[in-house]
Amino acid sequence: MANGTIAFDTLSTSGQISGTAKSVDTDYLAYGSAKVWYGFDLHGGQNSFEGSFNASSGADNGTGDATITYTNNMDSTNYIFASGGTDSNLVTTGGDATDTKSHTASTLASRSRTNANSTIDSLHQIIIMGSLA
Amino acid sequence: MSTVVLDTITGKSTATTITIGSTPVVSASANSMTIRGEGSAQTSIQQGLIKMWYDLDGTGTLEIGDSFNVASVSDGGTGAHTSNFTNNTASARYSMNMGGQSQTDVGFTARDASSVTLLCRGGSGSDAVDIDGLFGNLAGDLA
Repeated sequence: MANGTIAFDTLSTSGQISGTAKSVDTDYLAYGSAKVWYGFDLHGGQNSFEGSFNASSGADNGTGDATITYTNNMDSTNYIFASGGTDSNLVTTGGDATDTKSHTASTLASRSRTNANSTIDSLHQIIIMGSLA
Repeated sequence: MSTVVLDTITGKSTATTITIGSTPVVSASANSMTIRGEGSAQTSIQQGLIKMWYDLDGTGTLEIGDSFNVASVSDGGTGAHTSNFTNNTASARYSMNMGGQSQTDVGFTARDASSVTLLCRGGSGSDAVDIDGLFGNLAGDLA
């Protein structure tokens, strides 16, 4: 063993909630952590973050539409995102035949709609999992 | 298994640089541990961890399938339920993400640092519905 190096495969700690031992492969720390999360509020023209992690700025792109730019980019567009919002206002991401919302390694565009499928300014809550650049 | 008991681990070459397995811990200060991600960018472990998650069966008697940091859930009527956290968040300004079975729409109706109330509606309709397979996760700051 070289000076200054401690080698091990698994980091184990005592559990704080259940009181049982917890262990995790160290790769899970990087792969299993969310890389971006935020609540971006379009309601009432606020256009501001309630809270965020690794999000540098947000833009209002019209009714119901927001585009968020990351501080540290993802390594590709092959990442996943989950969304949430207030009751009756569904927040969607990703493009389709009639909706140009999409994502890049540095941005995510999302749209909020009512149950009646009309765009509406509301709170966009997003979490992103994937690999950083 | 041997046990190492100590108060502080300090990097030899650089005090705040320690490597765990193949994951460099590049900074550890002020209750924040930063690691290098999959590429060269750094990311915070604390900020990236999910602080609460659950899977619920809302049909019949409300039942938790599996969960983390959820102390209890209460039935708020058709399609509605409140999850109470074991450890509270720092504020209500967290990112709550939710979903459920196909053709359903889930959103929150109330939230604070100790609980969140979700309501599930039928997809393109507006009627509240109880479903088996409603899930949520929370990213944000713990108190």
